[in-house]
Amino acid sequence: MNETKVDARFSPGMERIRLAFIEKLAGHALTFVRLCREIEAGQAPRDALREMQLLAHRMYGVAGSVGLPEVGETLRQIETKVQFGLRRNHDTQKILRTVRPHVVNLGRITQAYRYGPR
Amino acid sequence: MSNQAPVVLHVDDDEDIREIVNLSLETIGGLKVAQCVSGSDALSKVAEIQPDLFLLDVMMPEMSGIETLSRLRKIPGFEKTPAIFMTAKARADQSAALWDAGAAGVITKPFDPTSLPEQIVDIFAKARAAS
Repeated sequence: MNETKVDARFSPGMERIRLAFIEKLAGHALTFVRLCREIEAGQAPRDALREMQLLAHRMYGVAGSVGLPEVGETLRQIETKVQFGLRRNHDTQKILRTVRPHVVNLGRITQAYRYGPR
Repeated sequence: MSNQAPVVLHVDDDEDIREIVNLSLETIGGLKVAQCVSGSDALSKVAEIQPDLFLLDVMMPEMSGIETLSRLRKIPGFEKTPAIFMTAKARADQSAALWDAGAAGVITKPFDPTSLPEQIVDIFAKARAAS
């Protein structure tokens, strides 16, 4: 195997995937905000929490693998806290209070990756 | 299989993960990779692909990785093909279920794409040696 050739293909490929993921992240961050609003308004809040958990779970694996550990950790916090609250049948507003700071943080990190820290 | 690189059948519903795994295994590991988007996709293509190794996501809609492996194992010729599960959930209770399902190895997401091929080849070699 020619290592120089391998590296030449791998690094740009990973960078392309990473940048595409950051763009998707912006849309997903808005989805988390929408789900928070639905939970707050009492619109099928447990369904919204399950959707939030699934989305966080799916994105978590990708975030860490493309070199975005801070995003991955924030998503892991969202997934874990929703899972914990649902398993113990906590009040949805109580679960929301534990999750919302991480959703806000996800939005902040996403903006920083897209436009640089402010 | 001879001394050629193993053919890996990777099944994952997440497009980003498929891209990362493909890039990693082909460019760093020099492995041949075929990819499917679901368990049913894998079941319909496995005979054509003739993989040496299954690499299966655990949490997929419609058919889980465990169910996919169970069905692949019923197809003649693939009863003993080594299988590696990829999961973002590394809880002990779930890991036990994966080993019980016949996993040769379990890889946790997120993973390091630069070391993934080495992990896979190592698990594959051990599974081959044990069989």
